[in-house]
Amino acid sequence: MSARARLSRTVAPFRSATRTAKVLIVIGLLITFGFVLVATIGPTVAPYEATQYQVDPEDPAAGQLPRLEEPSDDHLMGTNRDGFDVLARVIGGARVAMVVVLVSTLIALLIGVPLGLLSGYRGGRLDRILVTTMDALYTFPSLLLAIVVAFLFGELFTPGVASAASAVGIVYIPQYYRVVRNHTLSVKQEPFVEGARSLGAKERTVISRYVFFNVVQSVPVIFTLNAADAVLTLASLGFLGYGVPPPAPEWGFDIQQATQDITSGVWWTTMWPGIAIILLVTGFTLVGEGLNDVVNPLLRARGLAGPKLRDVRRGALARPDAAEADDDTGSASTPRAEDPAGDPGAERPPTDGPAGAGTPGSSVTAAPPVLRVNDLRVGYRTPEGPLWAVDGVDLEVAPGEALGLVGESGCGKSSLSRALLNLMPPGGLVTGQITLAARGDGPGERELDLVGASRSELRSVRGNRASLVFQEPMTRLDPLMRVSDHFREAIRAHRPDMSKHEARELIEGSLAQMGIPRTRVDNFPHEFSGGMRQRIMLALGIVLQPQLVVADEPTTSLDVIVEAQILDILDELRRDAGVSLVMVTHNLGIVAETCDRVAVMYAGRIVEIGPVEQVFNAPAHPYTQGLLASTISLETTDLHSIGGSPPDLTSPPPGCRFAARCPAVMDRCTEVVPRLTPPEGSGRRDHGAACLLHPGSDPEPATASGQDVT
Amino acid sequence: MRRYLVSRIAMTVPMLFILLTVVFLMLRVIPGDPIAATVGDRVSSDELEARRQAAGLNDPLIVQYGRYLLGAVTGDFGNPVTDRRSTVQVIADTFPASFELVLVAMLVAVGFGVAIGAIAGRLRDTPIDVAGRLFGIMSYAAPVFWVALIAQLYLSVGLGWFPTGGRVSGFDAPSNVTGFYVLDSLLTWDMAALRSSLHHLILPGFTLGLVFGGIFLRFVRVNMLQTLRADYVEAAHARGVSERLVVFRHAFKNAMVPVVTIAGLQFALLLGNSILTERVFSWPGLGNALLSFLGARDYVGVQGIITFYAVVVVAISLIIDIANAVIDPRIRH
Repeated sequence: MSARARLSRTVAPFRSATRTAKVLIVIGLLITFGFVLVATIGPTVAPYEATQYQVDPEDPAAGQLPRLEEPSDDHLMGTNRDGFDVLARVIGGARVAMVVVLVSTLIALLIGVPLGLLSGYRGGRLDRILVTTMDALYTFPSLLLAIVVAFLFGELFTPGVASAASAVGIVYIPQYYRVVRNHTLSVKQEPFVEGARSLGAKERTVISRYVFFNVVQSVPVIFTLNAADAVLTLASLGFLGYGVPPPAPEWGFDIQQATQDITSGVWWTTMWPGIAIILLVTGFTLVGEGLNDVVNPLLRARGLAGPKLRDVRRGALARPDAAEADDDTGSASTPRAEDPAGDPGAERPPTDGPAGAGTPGSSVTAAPPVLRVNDLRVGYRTPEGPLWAVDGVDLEVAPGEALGLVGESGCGKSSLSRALLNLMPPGGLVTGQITLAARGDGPGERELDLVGASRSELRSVRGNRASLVFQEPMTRLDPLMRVSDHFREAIRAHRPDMSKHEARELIEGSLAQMGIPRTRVDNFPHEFSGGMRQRIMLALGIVLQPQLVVADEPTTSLDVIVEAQILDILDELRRDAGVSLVMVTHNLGIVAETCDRVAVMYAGRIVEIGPVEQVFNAPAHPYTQGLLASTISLETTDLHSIGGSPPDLTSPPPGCRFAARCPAVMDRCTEVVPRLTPPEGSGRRDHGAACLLHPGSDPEPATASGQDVT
Repeated sequence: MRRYLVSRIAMTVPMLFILLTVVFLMLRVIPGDPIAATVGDRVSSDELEARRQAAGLNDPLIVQYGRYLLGAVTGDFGNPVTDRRSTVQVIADTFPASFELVLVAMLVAVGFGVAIGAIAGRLRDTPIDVAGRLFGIMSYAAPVFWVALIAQLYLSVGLGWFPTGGRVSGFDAPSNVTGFYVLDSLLTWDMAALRSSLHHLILPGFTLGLVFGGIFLRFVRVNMLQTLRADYVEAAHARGVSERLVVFRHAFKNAMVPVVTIAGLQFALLLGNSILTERVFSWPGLGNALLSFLGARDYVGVQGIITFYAVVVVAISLIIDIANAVIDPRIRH
């Protein structure tokens, strides 16, 4: 890796850090470097020395410094009871603290790292003994340990900076030991160690080098947090009289000396060293925590970095306030854009396509669609600028219909499926219209635009009228909650009047339908297999008989038998209860088996849509053709794949987004955005594609931004 | 659950064994012996020899080690050179005071740490979050003894709101039942003692707890950040569960699981750091007892008290693991 590449990889997480994280790190660094400066050159520029009690050390006749003098121009922080200048003591204390931080870390590293390597490398009994010893040391109160060690070292050697630093450093050995040991253990299993050995390299060298590079990444965080702790431990030792012995300037000892002054109203001897400690520890901690925030992938702030989102819907003026409204609150709830067309949640006639609403469809049903999606966009904040994962999608789903949603990963399928319930992570934005048809006449059953709906309206829809079945069944259930309580939670939210007995019946019934025995209803999630959990998730999704079920890869990671069971259940649900289904998947076989229609997504847009047989038998879009060709066919043995990769959605290319990978690309493809014909929502449910090769894909002029202009 | 309990209790044996061995070795590296170190210059060499013999210091090291281990397990922590009481008696006299102090500090730390940490995590990167974090970092950065001194200066000496030290004023001490003054005064229904002991507990308890609250605050905040975007939280949103319930029932509850573990470690740390608070407020606790043994270079006393701390630490980690198993159904299996 080149130096530049390595640098940019190191810097990358910092760029995606939130502004607060960056500001805190910078403040921490400023404080820390300020103290480094004070510790290094402070003593030479300060007007007095830390242990100077005569006005002029060369000339005893000039007299001694005043004792316990208030802060003045001559002594900015006053003097203490020994007649030392407090400012000089604070500066000298900074130097002592910095030296102890460095030496103690060095000691901890010198002992912890080799022990960790040895323990991880050798394993066996030695490893067990060391692990237990380190655990015992780690749990023992660190200050007590430091006191005892400082006391012993004081008895054995002359007390000084070295003995104090050793006492402070011993406490941190277990942390470095643990990091190094864990890395060593994990690298021993790596195949490249095997490989390196077969190439004649020494295994030990390989391991040491690998461990070194991995440990180096976690050391800065451990070091800064330990440094903060070390400053406090050193001061505590000094306060108790087991630190750096006087007259060396040490903050804790100085504070201990000052306790006698407090009652006589002398505040400056206590205050300044204390403030110095707080500042330095805060500086170290800010750096350490900031680094941790940035480096630790678990804490990284997704969706909160980068420019804020603007509503860029077609035909609507940019409405910054709509995106701003929910911004930066870190709210886990749904950001929503206000609808310029009318007040949220109000009933409004469906937006008509050119052909007019209600025209009887040529292929299937005349019933009004359960779900109608118009110009749906889903945006996320990224450091590179707004990313529109879904960029202008129109869809309709009829009652009892199953629509398959397919495409490569990263094409916007999952974003679309969440957006159908207006379920967005912090910083995400959904615009357009998602109209859920009325289910009845009740107040909570009317037709509703989910984009414009209020939070409470959305809540009453989710899990009730429309539900989302996730993939990853292992993590979607709360590990601390019984399975039955997950159901009870949904029932209480949507059917508050249901009696306990009725609820119990409903829960047991819907789980039994999925083949989960009544006796296991009160078990915890971890007591079920992956397949059972997926069925539980499904039961949770349909327990309240929704109009619409959105299933996001519901059978990924399941074996074929369970997959077939789940698909059967979904099929039954559709036939018997008239539930509409949107099935997100990358498995075209599942679509062929279970869906009526299929929509193919590419780079945030639908490129082809239509009845499954038509699309699969006569794909109109080159991308669909490629997708179909890349699935393993039983008739031919060769496996085609589409060359290249999807475009970067933060700066999508103008024109057709597939142009760069398209085998049939023409000059015009990069100039105009092909239109999906016939448009969804026109009432015609024919086979449609967004490709210039497809008749009727009316060309429209392309714009540089990649956004459509009507 | 029972099988987990048995195996977990069995695990304490090697840990205790290693801790005790480390303590023994550490206090045997010092040249000379405890008796010479403390009273060596005041008694004749004959008497010194007699006392060495009586204390078993002339036995081979391995015999002393065996005797030490046996004693530690059977509750005999030796007899200090500088105190007429046995170490166990010293501990019995002082530990309740420390424990009472640490309990109050723990309540303060958990109370304000968990509350502010959870709120800050929920409102990530808002001004409230930044303020909460800074408060957490600053309160952690402030040395325990310094905060105690400043509080003592302004609230006790300056304003006279609180006593400057001790566990009770004058002769208000309740009759000794357990050694825990608050508990004792309740047991004997001694309101004056209750009021006095509570009054004396406030400042030491709060100054010690505040500092450790910062650690809880930071930890709880980070856990909230992680659980708030857990898959099951999104799934709960998708079920239409109200925001309030999602945050409390799912995110907060799951964020609290690792806090129990940290609370155990913190309890041990608090026990260690209470030595500073005890020093400032002249609190007659175990920390001050250790300091006076250290000051007198009484190795036997030091060794006894450190041994006791080791036993307490092992016990705490056992209790924490059991508590974790009760809370988290996954551990029980």
